[in-house]
Amino acid sequence: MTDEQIPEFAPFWRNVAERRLCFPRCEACGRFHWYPLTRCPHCFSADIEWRAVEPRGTLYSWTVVRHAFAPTFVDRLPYVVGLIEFSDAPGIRLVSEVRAASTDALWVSMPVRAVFVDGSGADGLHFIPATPNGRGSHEDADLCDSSVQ
Amino acid sequence: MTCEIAIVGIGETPPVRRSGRTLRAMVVDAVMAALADAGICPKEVDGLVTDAVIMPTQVPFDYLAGQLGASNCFAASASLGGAGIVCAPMLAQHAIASGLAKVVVGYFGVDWGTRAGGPYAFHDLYPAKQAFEKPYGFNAQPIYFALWARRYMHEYGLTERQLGALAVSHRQHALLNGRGQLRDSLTFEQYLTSRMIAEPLRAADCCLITDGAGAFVMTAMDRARDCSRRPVRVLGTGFASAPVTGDSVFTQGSCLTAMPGAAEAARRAFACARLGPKDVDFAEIYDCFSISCLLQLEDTGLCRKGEAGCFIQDGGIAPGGPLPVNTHGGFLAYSYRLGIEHVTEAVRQLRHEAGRAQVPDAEIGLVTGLSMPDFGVLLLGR
Repeated sequence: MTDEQIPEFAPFWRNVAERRLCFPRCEACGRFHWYPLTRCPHCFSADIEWRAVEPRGTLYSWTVVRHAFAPTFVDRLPYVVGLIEFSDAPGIRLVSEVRAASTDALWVSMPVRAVFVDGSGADGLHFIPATPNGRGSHEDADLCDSSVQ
Repeated sequence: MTCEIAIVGIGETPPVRRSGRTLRAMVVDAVMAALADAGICPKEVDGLVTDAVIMPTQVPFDYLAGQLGASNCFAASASLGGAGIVCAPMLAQHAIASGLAKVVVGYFGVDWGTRAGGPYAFHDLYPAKQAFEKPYGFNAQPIYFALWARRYMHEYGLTERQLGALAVSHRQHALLNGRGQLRDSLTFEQYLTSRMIAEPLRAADCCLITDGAGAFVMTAMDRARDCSRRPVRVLGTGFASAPVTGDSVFTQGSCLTAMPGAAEAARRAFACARLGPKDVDFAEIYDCFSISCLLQLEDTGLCRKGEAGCFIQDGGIAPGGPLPVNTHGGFLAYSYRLGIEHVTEAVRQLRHEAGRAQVPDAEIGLVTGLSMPDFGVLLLGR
């Protein structure tokens, strides 16, 4: 089954295509959850809306992948998968790619920020290291307008 | 405990990467071997227990009952993979206590050495993983557990030396056993040359890929005394699960430094057996990765939180150590059949039939089974 077939999954990538980072939040209790469910796992309400968060977070953990488990990743080795937390969406973590000039420079709790690029699905979003004041370390970064919604 | 049961027979196919045989044929061989070991005729089987996801579709109850000539056969399943196998005696105990069955066979096998996609394809049953993780190359168990290992290193100061010591210890056990898939020695220096898969996990930190099956026969203690082999008593079982979906459990749990359900499953099993971690002579821990084995040592109470790395580096789980762990070499060096081989090895140890790998005077063994977010603990006694 693909994400297109699961209605509660679709808004994530639709928002990414519009350069927004959004997660499902329960309107009844105000808490986020991830991955998407049809009922809030905290209070069981079905009143769930997608809320934009500031596309800056911190690395909860990360790994440099050096073996391709699918043919499509052979040419991308090594690549970094990060698990990212967001201060305005407590309790959830996002799996994404982190692109850094040197993997030696990555550390737990490191600030990272989203980079939105033209492309469908996961091609449209990755993260890069950010300095503590929120500025990216790559000048080609196309920072999204986080004031949406 | 309302009903004392025992494991009276064990069987397994030789662990190999590719068997060239069907999973059904391997399971039948393992079950027949276990029944022959017990001295029980296949037609006497009236109960079958296994996991609830892999076996019911691949080697279903009716196929096995038909092959065995088993009439009026009770059948029950729990969890998926490891936790289900390790909790199979829990299901058998209830069936035997309530009179539903007298001779219950626990069975399991995998053909992930042969099957396209192996263990990686198995996780395709989780739609959110497909939608949000696979596109970023977060697509295999070693990568998930690499995040856990990194986080544990950050919180507790785990070192490469400690992870390596775990892999080396497993290999030492495997060499004493001599029947596993890996039969070459492994030093820490060789560990450092093992290919990096997902930092900090190397190939030597990851389980093998195996084709093979195993089985064990259970019956009530009074019947067990009449069987051909020394009965190994089921002292306690514990099952626990965390309220998180299989999609989310690798990334969204409250922490990445404790196995969901492990502490509670161990608490339940120890309470059932009226034993504690200090009573355990050896353990067969679900070592899908070095880091997951290490975490379970802590979560089941065999080590204190944050101390397993030092315990392992000091030889704590090696042959001759205070708590030998994975006395056949585990998933890292013996075979990866999701825990059925952990049960059969524990029985072998408690019969004192483990040869050069025998833990001296083994009286009580602990077995764990993991299938996140589920966890099973089994306590067996001589």
